[in-house]
Amino acid sequence: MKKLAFNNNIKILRFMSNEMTQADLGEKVGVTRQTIAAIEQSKYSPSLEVAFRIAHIFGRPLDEVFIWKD
Amino acid sequence: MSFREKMLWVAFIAMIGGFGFYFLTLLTPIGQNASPDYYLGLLFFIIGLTIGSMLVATLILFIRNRSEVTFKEDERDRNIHKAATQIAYYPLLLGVWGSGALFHNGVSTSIMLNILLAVLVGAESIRLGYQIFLYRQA
Repeated sequence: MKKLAFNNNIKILRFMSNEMTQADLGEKVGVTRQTIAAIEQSKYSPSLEVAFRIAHIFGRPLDEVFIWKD
Repeated sequence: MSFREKMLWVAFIAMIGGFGFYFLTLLTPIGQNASPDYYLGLLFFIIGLTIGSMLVATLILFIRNRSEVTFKEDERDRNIHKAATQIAYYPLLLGVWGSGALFHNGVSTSIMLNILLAVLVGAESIRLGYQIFLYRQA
């Protein structure tokens, strides 16, 4: 499986947001729980729109949610 | 496993099982010596059985996964669908052109129709199988 060029802090941010579940986040973003799980595990690269939506929900800038690997 | 993925498994198993049985029957001595009416009857029986088993399985999945049934296809689902359709397009194209070449070499209409059906079932099985593979990967 091809590894993505970036990591993410979604799992940590979910727990910091009252232990939000993947299903809750998925519902807010407009994707399925499975898609959130795939993004979290760096198995799926989300579109820019979904990435921005996730960052917006946590109230963080995009580069705090998704971190480019140098 | 999501409802969508389970539905893909149902369609994949029903297609491989149903049409696999049909094509294996055609390869047996009984199938090879049978009349076109026999093929047609068997084909309609298999199609009915495949659709019937898919409906029953869908109903069971629907009852057991009610919360997920209303979920719309999201971007990942669409990407997976698109990638699998692209992969399945090439064997379909090759199969249709290959069948056309066979037809010009004097293959009978009934065999020709079965070859085209096999190409269609093959391409659809590749599409469903690749979708399942991609869901398992990501």
